[in-house]
Amino acid sequence: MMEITHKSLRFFRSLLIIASISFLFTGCDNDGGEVIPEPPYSPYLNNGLFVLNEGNFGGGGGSLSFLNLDSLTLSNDIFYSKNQRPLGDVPLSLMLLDSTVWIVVNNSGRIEVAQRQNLASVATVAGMTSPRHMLPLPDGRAYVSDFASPLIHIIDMNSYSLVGSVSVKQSTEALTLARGRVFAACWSNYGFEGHNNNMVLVVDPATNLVVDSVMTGKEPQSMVVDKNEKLWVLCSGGWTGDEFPTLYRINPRSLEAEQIYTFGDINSAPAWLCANGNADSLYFINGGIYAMSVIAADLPDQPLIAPETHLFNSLAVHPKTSEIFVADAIDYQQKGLVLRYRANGTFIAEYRAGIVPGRMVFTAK
Amino acid sequence: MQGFGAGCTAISGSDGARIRKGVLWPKTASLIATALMWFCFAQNVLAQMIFDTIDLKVVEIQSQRYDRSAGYKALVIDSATLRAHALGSLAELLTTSTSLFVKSYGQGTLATTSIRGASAAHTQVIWNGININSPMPGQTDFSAVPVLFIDRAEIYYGAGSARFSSGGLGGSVLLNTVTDWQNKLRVIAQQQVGSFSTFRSNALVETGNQRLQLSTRILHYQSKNDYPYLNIGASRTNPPTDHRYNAGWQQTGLLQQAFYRPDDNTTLSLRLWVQDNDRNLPPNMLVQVPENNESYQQTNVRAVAGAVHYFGKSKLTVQSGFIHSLSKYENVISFINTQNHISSLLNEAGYTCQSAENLLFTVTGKFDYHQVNSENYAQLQQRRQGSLTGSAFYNPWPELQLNLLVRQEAIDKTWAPLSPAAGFNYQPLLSFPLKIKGNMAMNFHAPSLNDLYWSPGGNPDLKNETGYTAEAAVAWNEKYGAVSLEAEAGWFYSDIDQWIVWQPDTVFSYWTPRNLKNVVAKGIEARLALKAKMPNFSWALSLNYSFTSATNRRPLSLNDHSANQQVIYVPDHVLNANASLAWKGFTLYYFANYTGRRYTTSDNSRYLPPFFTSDVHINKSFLFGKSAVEVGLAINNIGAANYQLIAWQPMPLRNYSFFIKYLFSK
Repeated sequence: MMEITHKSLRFFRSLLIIASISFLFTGCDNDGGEVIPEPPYSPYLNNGLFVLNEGNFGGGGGSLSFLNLDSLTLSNDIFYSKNQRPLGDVPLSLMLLDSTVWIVVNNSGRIEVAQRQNLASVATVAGMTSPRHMLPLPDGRAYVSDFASPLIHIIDMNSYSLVGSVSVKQSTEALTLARGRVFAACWSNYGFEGHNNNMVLVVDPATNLVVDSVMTGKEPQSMVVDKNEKLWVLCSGGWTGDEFPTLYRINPRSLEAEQIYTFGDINSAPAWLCANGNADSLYFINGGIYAMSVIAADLPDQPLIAPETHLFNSLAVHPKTSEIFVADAIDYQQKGLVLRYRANGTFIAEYRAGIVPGRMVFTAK
Repeated sequence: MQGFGAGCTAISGSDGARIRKGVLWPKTASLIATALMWFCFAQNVLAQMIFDTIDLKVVEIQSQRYDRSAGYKALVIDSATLRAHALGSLAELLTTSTSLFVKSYGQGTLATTSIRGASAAHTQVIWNGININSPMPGQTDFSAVPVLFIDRAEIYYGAGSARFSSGGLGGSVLLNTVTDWQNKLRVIAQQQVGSFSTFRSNALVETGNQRLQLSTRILHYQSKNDYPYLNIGASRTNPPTDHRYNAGWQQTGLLQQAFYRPDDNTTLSLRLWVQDNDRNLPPNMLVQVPENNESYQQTNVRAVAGAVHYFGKSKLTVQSGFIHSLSKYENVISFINTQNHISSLLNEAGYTCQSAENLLFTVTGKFDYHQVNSENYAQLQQRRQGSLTGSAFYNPWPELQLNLLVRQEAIDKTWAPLSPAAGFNYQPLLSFPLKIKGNMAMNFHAPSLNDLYWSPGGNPDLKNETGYTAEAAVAWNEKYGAVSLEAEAGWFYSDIDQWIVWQPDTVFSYWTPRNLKNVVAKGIEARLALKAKMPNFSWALSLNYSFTSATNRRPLSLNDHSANQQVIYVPDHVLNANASLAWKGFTLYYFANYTGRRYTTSDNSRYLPPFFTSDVHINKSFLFGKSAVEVGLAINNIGAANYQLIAWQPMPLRNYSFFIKYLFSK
């Protein structure tokens, strides 16, 4: 009996030793979160572009990268590295001001504001549901579209705060300014049954009221204003292939659709309409990368850049050199590619950015 | 039931009568006697050992003679471990007592497992002979399976899963309830109070005689689950302590069973499992949403009626199961509010014949029908799945045992690939306890109904995932005085092709599944278990280790850096240690788990670091005649490890629970 008791005590003791080892194990200072490598340093004022990597919805893998076009180095996770915290869930769009960077973090419902030169966090504007795009106005305010809320948020960019809203009664996506008025694309009516997903709203920024609207094709996905101050709206035609995709040229004053270009394939979904620096050429993704002049009579038949093995996820055109930057998210679970092409479509180089590279914004104007 | 397939399960309850007649299991009678003797001698040990009766029988009865798992890897979770988690879920049970990696968003939330580098849908979960994987995602939520509704849990790895169903490319988890025909009345009531406003109450009443046994088990568990965590999403270097929100959950369940033996050769069983699971879904730590934004509620009704009949040297089993599941998912800010109704009929008939002293044949036919009415599908969808399986156990010499199996399945009028499996156990010297085991199998996994029909994205053109697997192991099982030793070490290899991956569609960019990857998994598994039972003191120690290398062999293009990289969320090393010590009514349990690196990106550029957690439970029981009261305290994650199983989903730090349990038995 004594023997057994003794043995059991020994056993208890060995358990205690195991238990204390377990404390040792947990003593090391990892914080249990994703291990994210430190990027090489590169100043963000240089000639280059910010690449916003969305990550996957709910996955928290979003990040910010910077491609320096002088040194040709790409630095990943630069917001994280400076601030020791991630941007948030699905950083979707980015706006550069003189000294600040504004990043709309969609699924986190907030906007991160950072100093442009080193990305040190300046402020966080929270309180939005599903913010999408941000449009700075000349008076120091900005409009922010929202996928899941029937309003456009108004931000005071000096105080970094939400100061009001424009009641639009439904979801909005792309925002652009033309002839002093804000154009807000109604890309989705999901959750807002009875509302349109084939319309662009016109908002007067002085009164914050919807003053008019213009009908377009289904799902106006992206918009640009050309050198003639015409508004171009690229409509995907509906995510189930409801109608032929279209490209609208709209007179922003009369709201007349001056020309409607219709795509030939109902099972295509053109997206990411961009313009070059002179705003005389338009670019978009439709499998490959297409380019057209703003005075073209028809849509281009041949891509400027064929997709080959790529699945193009986003597009940007350098405002000075008209070089074309395209992102490929590969399997959406690994560091995606940023591909650089000359203006004529010849390949120059590729870089590995973050997970699901999306919006790309140049430092040059 | 799965013929004898379910092995000990079938034997323990409904087949008890047959065992005593000694036709199929001539040597088992003495094993039972041994088991019962153990019980008699040990009765002064622990109150809880009253309830070992069933378990001892179950374990001891497993006949060496007809070992239908010979050659395959099976892990049986012992009754003491099940008891230690009697108030928990299958997710917690597997996390603490096996080297399986259970991926979850935290206590009470969706939990799935990956076995040997395969996906969650490659784990088949079979409860009392019916496959409870939901036909929609093709998987089971382990957090919604209460340990109270399980008397026996076994994991069959790789080829070993072929006996029970197709689709277990990783393996199968078998969960069974058993009946003790000697029972007159048994009552258990338990109440637990734990950290984060967690309350668990359950009760069990089992009564009957040698002809009829009735069993009722009920539970209500709930938790606010608002645990504090270090918010590294807000600051990595100086994380504030935040509280998990919108993570509350509750479960209410009933398991009603009736077992009847009209004669010594026949057993009839009826089981009804009704459970309601209601939970809020917490966002990751980078997302702020209103409380109650996202929730999931599910009501499952599962019923199984079965009959087992013996005649001559044959056994006939017939079983029919019905599952109805209603689930509601709501996400307020995303405007999602959907309902899914699933009805399944699962039928099986098996015939087993002992055609010679050393040869056992089984033929099993199955027919399953699933119907899904989901707001996520464009229309009502159905699946009809039928299979015919033939298997044989052959024991040509005492040193060698062979298992062979072949299954032909058809799904919706399409033939699935023929699925064979074979395993052997070889003991070169009968006087020396070293066994060599090996197996090979070809199997397939049909796409889930979500894969095929989800709207938008579902891809009706998906092919079956196909897999082959092989394994070799050495085992050493021996008793040294009062100490029994089980040791096993093995190597496995599996190759799963046409692996289904959801990725954005090339045009409209909504997600769609395609047969994209070829995943080759290989690794090592080792187990060491020691157990000792002495008149007034017992102890047990088990170690489970696995190393898994699971890599993608088919990149999408040259740009795809997932080539030859570890599949995401498959840990490389997992080591698990369990120890228990019982002495004078005290029981001390220690559970430790080390989980290695899990990559979160397919190119392995990001990962979650390894973590180590350990739990200690201290229980004390008091005997009062035929009653016993047991109280216990558990300290979980004693090292307060800050870890995540899914990126940016924090897990609880150190937490506590206290329980009181009342038992009565006569």
